[in-house]
Amino acid sequence: MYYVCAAFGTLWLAVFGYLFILDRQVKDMGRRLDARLASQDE
Amino acid sequence: MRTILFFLAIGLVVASMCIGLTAGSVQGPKAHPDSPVRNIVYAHVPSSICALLCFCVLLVAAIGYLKTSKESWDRLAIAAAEVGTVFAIVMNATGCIFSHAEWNTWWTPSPRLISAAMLLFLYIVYLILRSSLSGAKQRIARNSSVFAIIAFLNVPMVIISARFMPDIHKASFEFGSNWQRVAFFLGMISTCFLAGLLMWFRTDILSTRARLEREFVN
Repeated sequence: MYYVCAAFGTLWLAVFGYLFILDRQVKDMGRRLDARLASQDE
Repeated sequence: MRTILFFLAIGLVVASMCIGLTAGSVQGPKAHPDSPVRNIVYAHVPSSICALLCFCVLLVAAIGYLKTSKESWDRLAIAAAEVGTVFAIVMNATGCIFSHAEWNTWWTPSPRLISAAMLLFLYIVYLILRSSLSGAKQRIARNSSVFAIIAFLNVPMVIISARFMPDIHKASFEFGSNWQRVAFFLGMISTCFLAGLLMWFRTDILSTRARLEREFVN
């Protein structure tokens, strides 16, 4: 059972790891957009 | 809409996992006939098929880019390569876990295992190539597309390796009952759905970024 849990855990870890990376990219894009908008306002 | 689809995919994966964990034994390479370890196939096989399908999408996107030079093909190629890498990692990791449990070794140089490891390395090389090439975007996309088309040659190798060469890895497995068949196909559908959704998210992020860059430049 330990091996089965390790295998399914790996699947979840990989998928959520990738989702975490995507989330960081979206946040980074939002930050850059805010910075650009702020610099345009000035 | 996206949130609903995402939670639907997660729900499907959880359901398939629950069924997969309880579906019992599947005929496969086995040392212990009643070992629950063989339930790993419900995560391993769908991930492997998804990794191969992502390479097919990558090939179509690469050919599409070379033919039309449209950036949307290139964005699809990036998304397919990244999602394919995720599933190739899952395929190799779950394969190693299964191998250690059933064959008492983490990895052994058999045709299927070597070609599967090569698949992962080719995905990684593709991504490294993309990020390390310098110059115009079009040039990077063109060179990467050519590499993706050549690298696709490994996909048939993965499929035929265990069928035509003596291998510790079985070429296919048989279902013992309808319950197992349902568990397997549910796993297949949910994993493919998840892969498609991840690819869609990534393509969307890339196209939004490209649009923002265009708007700020103009």
